[in-house]
Amino acid sequence: MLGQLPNAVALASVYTLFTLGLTLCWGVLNVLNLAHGALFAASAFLAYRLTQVVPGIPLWALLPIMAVGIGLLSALVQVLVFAPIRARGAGEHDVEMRTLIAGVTVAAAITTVGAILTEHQPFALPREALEVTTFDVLGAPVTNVQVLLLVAAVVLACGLLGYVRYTRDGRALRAVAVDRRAARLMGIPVRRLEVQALALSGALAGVAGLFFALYLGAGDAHMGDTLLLKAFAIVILAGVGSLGGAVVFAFVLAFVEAYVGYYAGADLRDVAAFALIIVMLLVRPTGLFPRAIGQRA
Amino acid sequence: MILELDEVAVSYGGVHAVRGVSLGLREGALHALVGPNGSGKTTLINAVSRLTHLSGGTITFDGADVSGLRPHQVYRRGLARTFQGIRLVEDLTVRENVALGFEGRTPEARWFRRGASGAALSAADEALDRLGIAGVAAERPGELPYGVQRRVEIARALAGDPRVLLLDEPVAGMGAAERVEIGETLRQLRADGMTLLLVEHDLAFVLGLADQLFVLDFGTLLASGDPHETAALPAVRTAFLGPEERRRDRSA
Amino acid sequence: MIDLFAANEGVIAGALVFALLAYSLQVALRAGVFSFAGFAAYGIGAYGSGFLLLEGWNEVGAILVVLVGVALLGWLFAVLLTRLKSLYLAMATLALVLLVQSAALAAEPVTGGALGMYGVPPVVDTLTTLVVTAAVLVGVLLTQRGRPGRRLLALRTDEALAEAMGIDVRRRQRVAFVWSTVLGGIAGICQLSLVGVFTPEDVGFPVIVTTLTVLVLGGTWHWAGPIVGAVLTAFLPFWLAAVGDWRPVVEALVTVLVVIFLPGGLVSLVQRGGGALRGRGRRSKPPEPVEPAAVTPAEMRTEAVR
Repeated sequence: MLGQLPNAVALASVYTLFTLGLTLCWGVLNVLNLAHGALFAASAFLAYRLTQVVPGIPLWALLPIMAVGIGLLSALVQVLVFAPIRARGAGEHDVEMRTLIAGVTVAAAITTVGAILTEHQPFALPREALEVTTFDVLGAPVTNVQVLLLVAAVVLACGLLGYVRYTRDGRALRAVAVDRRAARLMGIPVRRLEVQALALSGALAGVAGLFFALYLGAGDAHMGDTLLLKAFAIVILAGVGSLGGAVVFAFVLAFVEAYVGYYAGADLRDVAAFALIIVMLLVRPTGLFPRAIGQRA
Repeated sequence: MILELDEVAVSYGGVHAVRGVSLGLREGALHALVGPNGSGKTTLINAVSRLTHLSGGTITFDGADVSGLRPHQVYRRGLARTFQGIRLVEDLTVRENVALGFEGRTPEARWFRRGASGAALSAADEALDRLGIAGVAAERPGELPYGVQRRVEIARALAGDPRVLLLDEPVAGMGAAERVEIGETLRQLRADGMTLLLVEHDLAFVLGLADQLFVLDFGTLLASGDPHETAALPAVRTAFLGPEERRRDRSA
Repeated sequence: MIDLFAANEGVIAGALVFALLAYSLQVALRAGVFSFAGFAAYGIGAYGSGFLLLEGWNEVGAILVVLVGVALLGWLFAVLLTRLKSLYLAMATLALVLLVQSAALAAEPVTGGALGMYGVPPVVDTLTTLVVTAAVLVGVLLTQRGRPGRRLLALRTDEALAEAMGIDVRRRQRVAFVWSTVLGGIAGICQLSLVGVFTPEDVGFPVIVTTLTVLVLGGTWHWAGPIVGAVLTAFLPFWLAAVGDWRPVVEALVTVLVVIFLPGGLVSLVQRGGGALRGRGRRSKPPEPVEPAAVTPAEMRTEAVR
């Protein structure tokens, strides 16, 4: 029982890091970035290639490189793909759908590049990056990766919440969420903020992807696909744009998964998860924390 | 009374936008509903056209309770409306936009009847002619001047040959000359026997036009009756005097 | 002509199934419903017809039962789900697709699990699929013109306006939803028959991605879009054989470019050519409406809530 706890917490940390970026872009910019999962996977396979090119590169160097690198990649997707779509959009409905399709397509491209770079094989980050050690906490085995993951999730989640709530840009971002046109009329640099939000969300995905590969001991080019779907579930259950709700549901889903998976088997776990999403959407179409980011003081 | 509202109330969450309004429209008369911005005018006609849920009260149209109907049902019974902003379908021509209004009165099962489309288009031309803009029938609405677009909106509502027409600020953003023209059109419609409810925040525009005035303030009916008499009432004057002074009174 | 058909039969069959799936998506989209439920019906149609045929049902009976079942299921989901809007509906129906997928994986005795269902006697051939697709195309074409076309356009552009203009939006959208699932079901029956095997992967994300690509490349709103997109997507791999492993990247690049610069898909290129002749090519933005000078907080609130 207690033995599953560290796993559940580590999984929850990955979900948190991954979902926060997704919900930020969806809630604030109405950009449902379906390339988010591929960016997450890109962090892992690019890190793996980097360890091959630069043998012995340690985690403390890899981590900032991947965060910045994936952040830039994500910003690039915004600048090259999502922004032009919005600029040429005929109505919100049209923009939403074309953004969705473009995101899926970009994801397919990134995943293919990843598959080619990793020769279509699962890969493992070398031991030199981080020596995994296990120690005992109250009788449960805890690895240093799990501890680092939790620390990263807590620090970055708090950082993001702080950014959205207390910084000038964060407040401006919330204004964009309420009314895009009004925000632009008030002189808020909407385009720059959008790029910034995508970059932040990408950086979070970068950290999450690297840690997830370390935590599992292996990764592959498609590792973001299933995570993306779970993140949807979390975002929808929490209410789109709700950062606090996303953290809560990341933990709920991770714990349910860890324990249901442990006791009932993986097949039923997925069936139950998707049925739960549908039922939840019917009961509370706006999620359990239905306040949009803009309304959060 | 062709349309009667009895204690109609609308609230969203904690906001009571309309709190118990009762009023009636006489057949063949031109009524005006005035009130400062935020007094609940648009919410009220959204409720009447059933786009907004009712939190209380009943609406009777032509002797039947329509409070539980959906928007397309009241439209088919002959209660049409226009919107405050321009809401034309960009990808259709003006004629096609107006034809929508005619087709809305016909059940969908007859969509595929031969010649039906032609009937709708000629009804559209007729409605455009009534508004004096028959010349733009083949254009796309996005390319037209603002005032013409607003007239297309009215033509669309007319194409369904409604018994009651609710107009939400039809002259907003128009110049003085255009206002006079629209006023003439409304008089003509009344002369043709149509019942009209004109929603407006500009008291001056409706004074020379309406047979009856309803004044709405803070979601309640402040006064109703003969336009000039009603407009002269002290309470109505205060309501229109400018919100700042009134706010000061209330907070004091 | 016949030789060409025979030589490419496999490719053509694949293209037709994707065209049917794209129509399934389009039929819903054109009524303003962003639903992936057609893909769930695709899975149910394939597994359902396979199950009945393996049980020894005759062809017509199996097909009819499956399609009626899918339609009923579609109506049920339509009633439950169409109150959700845009992306919420998209995600709820996506969950539905994944539910079918994981159920197919779990129900191994019936579906064959991850290995898939095979050994089912085929009930349709490529030619039949072609006829069915053509019939669907004609149906979509009929609802694109004249009255139904106008009203569908109004419906998906502005729901509140459509309702106020006498269009029963809820009913239209439910009907569209049901048609979408029925077309998905037909595509499923065809896929199982034409390929001979159906696996849970066929109900997955990649199929949705390919279908979206088909629709976007061809033309999301045009009746010919799905078929044009499907043919292009089917033959693109041959033209791109030279880039080898990088083919998906090139395909993605092409799709992204089309999504950004040709919102109407490749069909719109042809249309634009014709439209320019009729002088309908020009489009401009509507003038900004003049805003009321002062909006009180109360009005802003009611506006926001509506």
